[in-house]
Amino acid sequence: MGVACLGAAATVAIGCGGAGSSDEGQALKLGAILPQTGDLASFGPPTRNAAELAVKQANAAGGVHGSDVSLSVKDEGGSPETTRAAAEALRSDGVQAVIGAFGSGSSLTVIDSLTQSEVVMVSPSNGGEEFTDYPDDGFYFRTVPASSNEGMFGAEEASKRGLKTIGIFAQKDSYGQAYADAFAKQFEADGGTVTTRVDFDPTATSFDGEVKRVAATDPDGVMMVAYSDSGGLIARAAYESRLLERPWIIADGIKDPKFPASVFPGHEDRFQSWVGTGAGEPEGESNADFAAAYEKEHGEPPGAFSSNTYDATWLAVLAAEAGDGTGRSISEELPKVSGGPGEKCSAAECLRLVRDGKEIDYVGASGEIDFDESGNLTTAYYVIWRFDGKGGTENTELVERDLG
Amino acid sequence: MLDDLGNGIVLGSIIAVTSLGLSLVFGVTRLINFAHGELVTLGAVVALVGASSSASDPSGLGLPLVVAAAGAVAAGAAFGVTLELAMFRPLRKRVGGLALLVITFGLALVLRHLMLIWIGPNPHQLPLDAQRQHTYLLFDLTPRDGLLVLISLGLMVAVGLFLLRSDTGRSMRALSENSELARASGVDVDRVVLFTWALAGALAAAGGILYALTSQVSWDMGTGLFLFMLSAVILGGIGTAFGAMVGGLAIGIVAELAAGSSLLEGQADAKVIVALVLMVGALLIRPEGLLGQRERVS
Repeated sequence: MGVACLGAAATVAIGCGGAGSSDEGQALKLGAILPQTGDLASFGPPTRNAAELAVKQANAAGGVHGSDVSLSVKDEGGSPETTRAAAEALRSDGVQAVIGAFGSGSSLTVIDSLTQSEVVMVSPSNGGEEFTDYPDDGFYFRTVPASSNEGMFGAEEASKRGLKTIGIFAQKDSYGQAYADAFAKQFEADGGTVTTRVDFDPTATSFDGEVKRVAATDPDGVMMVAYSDSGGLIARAAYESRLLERPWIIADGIKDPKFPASVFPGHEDRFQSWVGTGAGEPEGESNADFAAAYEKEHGEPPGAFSSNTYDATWLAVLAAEAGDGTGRSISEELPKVSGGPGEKCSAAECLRLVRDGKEIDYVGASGEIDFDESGNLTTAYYVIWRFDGKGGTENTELVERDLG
Repeated sequence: MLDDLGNGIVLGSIIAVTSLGLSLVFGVTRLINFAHGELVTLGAVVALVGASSSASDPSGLGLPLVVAAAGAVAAGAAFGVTLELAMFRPLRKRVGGLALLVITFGLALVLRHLMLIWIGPNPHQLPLDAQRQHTYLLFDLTPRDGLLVLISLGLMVAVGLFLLRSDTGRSMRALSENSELARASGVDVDRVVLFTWALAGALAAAGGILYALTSQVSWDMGTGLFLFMLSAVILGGIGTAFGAMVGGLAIGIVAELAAGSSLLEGQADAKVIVALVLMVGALLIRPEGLLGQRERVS
């Protein structure tokens, strides 16, 4: 390889550096920042498994630029320090793209250091408002819509169920505030009233005072956007104050099937009045193929955000193959492979087409997935979901929205 | 405001019980044990493992909670004794106070991460169902919270009587106030120190279980409480256990009232801020604390 490489380098401007590179581009080193510990740890396995599945399929189909794609998953953890350490480790490893981070707050702590080093970030789950037009030089993408849209959708559901007054528990971070602000705005625009809004610290260990405050205003229903730890404490306090029986609209940060049993073991039915809103995925061949492959590989159906992570990983792979595999090239190719004028395809099929130099339009397991230039989705799918009282969650309705 | 006062009494009771041990160890050995928060966590974790049914947790023993709690308190006492015999007694002869302080920092880190390995990063509930609130004497509390306050009160009265009436208790107070004089008058220092560590470990464990009853068991639950404990000890008066009791209740009540007020509503860490402000205020205005006595430095 050595002599031919040098000869090629003399005539072509592309160098022969890095492990296993070919004349067309670099091999793809992918990183992932996903939660293994911390508040969001329950989302770790479904997302990590999905990313690994995508990489395995890509390598089985020949990899990127003739070499296997490598995937290094680091723990996002429950604190900014852990996330930063994860990002630093991946950056010095020389990854071209990172799948993650999972939490909006976590992504915000590392978006500058990663994007300014020309490492592409593709998050499978960030809902924060900041990311919609963040100055990331085109290096940040997400395979979910902004939570604010979800918040609007939640408010519509609240009005549909006849709730005129509502108390709000909103986590004090990018995710919670985006959802709650949009919810409140839409709810009030539709004629409802927010009786109290509590913006709480997700690291707090007691919410008795906050819950009593909301209960005292006697709302028709409650809206809560929280992760499992806070959500559990709020739920218990709400049970004590007799607030839990009313209808609750909740965001999907708490969509963990084990949540009800961990809060009220033996009394999971106490969550009957909870109506969940969240990111959804359309039925379709791409989704069905993914679900089957995931189940075969991991022995259980995909979990929350699995499909979004799968798509994020596959898109990074395809964008790397379409260009020369550097971070900058991936950032430029991502909008093109996600929603270009080319042929619609999924997974390995897309890889073969890109390798042949064709234009493609990736159709993901979580939806059409077409990025605009700011890295945001142009179509969103939402679900209404609930805890089924038997240790699982079920989606009861799917809605498709065009995001202007 | 009544709600906050009620919550404040509950929190204050927990802080009072957990900081008692910290105060006792300091009084008798002049060591601020920065790992005391981890002793609190340990008590809660042992009770959790003992009481969890093996259905929800493979290592759970499925004992009735009272039995598991008693076991945890005994374990706390045993652990305190172990720390004294294996670590602090030999080290006290060889290194100075500052080094010992730093060692307790290290001990705290090690214990905290052992807890993390043991029960994992997510919080757990003690296997008790949630209860409804009822009105007790103007306060809306669950029956469990009410019981908690009564138990804490009982513990404080018991420890107080012990310190005032029993021989060992009197020796502890003597060592606390003037260790040279106490030694000179024949107090068996080693025995008293050992007993103090056992008591401190037991009280920390008890406090941890009480805390878990109102909240959850997590690997770092004691760490968060430590600042409150330290503030309580300093506000109440270093070297007096009664000070820790008063300081604990005061900090709990003021922190909840302040955090619930419209000024600090929704502020992250509002309660901790208040506790620290009280601690600093105490040091500035009355360094010996509410119940402490001024010490002659020279």
